[in-house]
Amino acid sequence: MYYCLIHKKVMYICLMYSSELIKGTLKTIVLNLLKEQGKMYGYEITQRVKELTGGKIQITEGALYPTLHSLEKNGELATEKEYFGKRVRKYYTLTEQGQTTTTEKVNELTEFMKTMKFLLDLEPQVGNA
Amino acid sequence: MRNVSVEEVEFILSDIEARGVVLEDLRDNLLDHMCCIIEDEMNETEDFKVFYESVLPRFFKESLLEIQVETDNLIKFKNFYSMKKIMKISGIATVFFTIMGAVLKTMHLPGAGMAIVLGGFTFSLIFLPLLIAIKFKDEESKVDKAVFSFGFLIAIILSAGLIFKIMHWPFANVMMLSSTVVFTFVYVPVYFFTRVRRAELRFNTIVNSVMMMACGGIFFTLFDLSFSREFEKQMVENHIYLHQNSDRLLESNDRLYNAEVENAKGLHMLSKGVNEAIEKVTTKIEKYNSTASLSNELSQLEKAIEQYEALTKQEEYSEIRALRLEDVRIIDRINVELAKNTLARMQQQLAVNENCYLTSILSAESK
Repeated sequence: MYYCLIHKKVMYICLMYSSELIKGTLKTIVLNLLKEQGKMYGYEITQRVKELTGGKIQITEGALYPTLHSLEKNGELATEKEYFGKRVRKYYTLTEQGQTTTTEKVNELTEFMKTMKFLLDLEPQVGNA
Repeated sequence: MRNVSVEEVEFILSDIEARGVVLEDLRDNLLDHMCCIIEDEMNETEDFKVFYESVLPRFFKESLLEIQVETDNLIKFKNFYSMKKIMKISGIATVFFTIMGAVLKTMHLPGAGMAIVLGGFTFSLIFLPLLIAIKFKDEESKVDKAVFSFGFLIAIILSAGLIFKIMHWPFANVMMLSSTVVFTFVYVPVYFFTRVRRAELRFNTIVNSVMMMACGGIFFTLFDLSFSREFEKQMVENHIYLHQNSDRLLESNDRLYNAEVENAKGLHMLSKGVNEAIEKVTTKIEKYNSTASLSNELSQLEKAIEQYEALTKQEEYSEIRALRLEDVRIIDRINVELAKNTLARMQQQLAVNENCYLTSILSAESK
């Protein structure tokens, strides 16, 4: 049942869900993951999402890093670096502002999902049949 | 799990750089990510380069650079769009205000100055700086960035200079002249030599350079054409003529005063006061060859004239014509020669006034 649209914008997230569907939620996914895990680096985030969703959502590098950089630039994320010779690992953590944004984003998405459920009549409510 | 060797890290790093990723943070992230994949997913038996080549396409659709472009866009575009929007609006505002100002000015309607100043300010302080910022982001080569920014900076100074000139504010000439000279003799050659060697730009560069050189040259010549040498000579002669005649008249007046016209002493003192004030202004103009910063001298002259007018308004001085205060008020806004002429004219009026008054008294007494 799951499919992957080969589409111009498939750079984003792929494999199981169409990119359009998940495009708007990547920030929320990343922020919420960092809220729960504390400190993470890029590869760890992709692996964790894959693991948690049983491979249904795989974040591609092409989507993850632009998002991380823009979140950092906007002050939602702070970074600390760990050096192994020429190799540098950047750990991301939420800033105070990031904490607030995460709550807002998660609430927004939850509301949105409720509305979608209702709109698509997937879970007919009592008195609404 | 397999370890990534130092050589392999070097290889990946140089490959990422070779593919055009220059943002340091992003490069570090990609390098570490690739190393993690190799450590996690590669078998001991597999060949490093083959594996690397097979993993890399996961990162992009057509080229690795996509990630950097996307990052760049996400970081910059928020401001970028609003900047472009403001630039468009300020561009339209500039055109609107300038045309409106020009129309009002030619029809001698009020509000012209305000419209032109607004147009100039939106152009030089909003439109051009934003253009620099946007061009700075768009241009690839650092040299081009620098050259364009330099050019726009000159344009800002030149347009500000024009506004200052129209509004008779200080430093207008310095701004206009220096920016025109720098534009014609520094910017155009720099523009030409930084671009002409690139084959794809050569034709445009030559055409643009010739046009800019011509514009700059014409503009530069205009500064010296503001009045001709003949005109200047005549102005100087006028001034000398007026001045000498006034002096002769004043001397003749002194002789009349000495011929016992006692009750004219009051007028004599005031006339002398005005004359001295005029001399002071003229001396300063000649000393600095400029009509700027005369406010002290001019206010003294205004005061002297006011006193003079207060006396000569009375009926017995009907022979005396008024000295025009408005002439004094424009002295620091006109050029040196004209200012000296105006002052000399005033001096002559003063002398003629005195003379007419004295001769009228004398003729009345002799009757």
